[in-house]
Amino acid sequence: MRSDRWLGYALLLPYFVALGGLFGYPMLYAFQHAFYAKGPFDVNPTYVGLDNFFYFFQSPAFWHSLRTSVVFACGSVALQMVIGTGIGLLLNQAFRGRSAVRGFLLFPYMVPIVVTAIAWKWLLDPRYGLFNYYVSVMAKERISFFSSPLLAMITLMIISGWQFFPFVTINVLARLQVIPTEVYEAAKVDGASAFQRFIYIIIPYLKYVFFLVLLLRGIWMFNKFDIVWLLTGGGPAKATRNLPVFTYEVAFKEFQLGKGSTLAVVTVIPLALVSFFYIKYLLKEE
Amino acid sequence: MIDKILSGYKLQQFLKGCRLYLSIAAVVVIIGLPLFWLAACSVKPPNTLFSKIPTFLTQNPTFEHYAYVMKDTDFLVWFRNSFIVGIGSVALTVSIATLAGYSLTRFKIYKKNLILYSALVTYMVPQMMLGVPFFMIESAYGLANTYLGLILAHTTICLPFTVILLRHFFRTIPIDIEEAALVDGAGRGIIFYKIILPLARPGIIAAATFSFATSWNNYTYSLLLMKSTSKMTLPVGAAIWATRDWIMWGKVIAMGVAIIIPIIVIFSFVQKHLISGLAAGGVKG
Repeated sequence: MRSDRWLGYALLLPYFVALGGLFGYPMLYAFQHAFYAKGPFDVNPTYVGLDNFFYFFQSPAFWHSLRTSVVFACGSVALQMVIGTGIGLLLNQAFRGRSAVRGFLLFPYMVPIVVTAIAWKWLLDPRYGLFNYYVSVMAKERISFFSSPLLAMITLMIISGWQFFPFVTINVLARLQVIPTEVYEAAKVDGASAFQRFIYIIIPYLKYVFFLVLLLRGIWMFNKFDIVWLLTGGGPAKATRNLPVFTYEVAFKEFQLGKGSTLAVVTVIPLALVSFFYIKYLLKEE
Repeated sequence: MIDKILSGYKLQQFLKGCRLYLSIAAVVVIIGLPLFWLAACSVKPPNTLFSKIPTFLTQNPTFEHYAYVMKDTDFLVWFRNSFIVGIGSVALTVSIATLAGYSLTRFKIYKKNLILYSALVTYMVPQMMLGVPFFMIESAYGLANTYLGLILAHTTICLPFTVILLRHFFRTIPIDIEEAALVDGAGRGIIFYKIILPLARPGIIAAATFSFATSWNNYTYSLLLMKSTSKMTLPVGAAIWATRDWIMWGKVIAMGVAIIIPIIVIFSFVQKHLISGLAAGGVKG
């Protein structure tokens, strides 16, 4: 163990090479090209300094997409945390068939985004969808879930909630399992109500996991491209066009790869800083 | 009087039980409804599918939608592509991650925690943002629209959580076996190959499964890096059909179900190892 220290590093080498080549190099490449313009017909990129940055800071479309990303992230994460934690608490109890349900739980998280989009679009379809059938029976009208900006955003959040709550539930459950039952028993003996037990036992145990999951889901929902693109394509009249969708349109529809790099840099750097400090704080707590 | 007390308590317990099982049933329905509805609809003949009043199960199930999808779309081509990219991603990811995970468990590495948290940091980078330089670099090197190019991209998603997952599994292998073998004079390579790997098999299977599913399901990188219809992966191809102005629902529904069946098959085979692995720190975007 001690004399072949070098072997440890040697075994890690492929991993470092992969990280460097697949993350480090592209990030540097993007950082460099953020200062260039490369349009659809440019063979070589031209240096434009900070022009791309100024372009976006003055562009209402950019700020709109940033706002949309924040709104979508907040709403969908809130939903995922509430649903995920609730179901986690539910599945923490003992009941028959518990392991089967827990296995089933992973289902939505493992479904490809395309299939989720297809399944929900079909369920919510104005003409043939199951939901709208019941709506038409009750209210004599049909709802088009993706035609109004507000409703489209809410629908997006709900579908994301369905897809991603298992991540929250699994992490919450893992933590809840660690709480010894004696703590519950003692509290019950002392006469604590279910609500009090929740506040004084469960919440402190969950705090660390809760905030870690909150950070992860927050960042991931902020960065989500595929579910937004597949369900709304940026929404009715760009209403759900969040930052990644905006980046896609700039870089791959308008073929402005220099500007796309700028967007990549503008998105990643603040996120990296935020997560760095957040994680530092979390590490201290643990 | 004792009867009254007993039945009151029993009633309370019964109601509590009802509430619990009802909630569980509700959860199961919410989780399962979209996909079971999709599967049920995929075998409905068109007139039942589009009828005014939806029915859950049809009287005359038909596979015509699946037949059309297999024959008259590029589904099988996309299936092959997804499979190739998936296997490639698993091979690359698992080989790198196994070495790395083992190293992080058995050797003293400088700033070990930093290395592990760097894995977490890579998940802060959105796929669309990493995708832009990836596309540019791969275009410059002629890797765009190739299997290797996409495999490399998928590896970026799979590698970090696989390293964490495998490290967790290696930690559960007691060190005594290795030390005994070392004392007996066995080389490290043999130890790794004949002792460690077999013991870590559940972990490696879990890692391979998650990586394959991650690669199979991926849309963003596949969209950016594989442009031609003959090289596209399944999600991208299916999405083209599912985002038209006029959607051919019968075919699209069948495609949706067909995409997810391999994943279900694989997962049902390796079910036991998975939940513990995910909770241990496996993450996905």
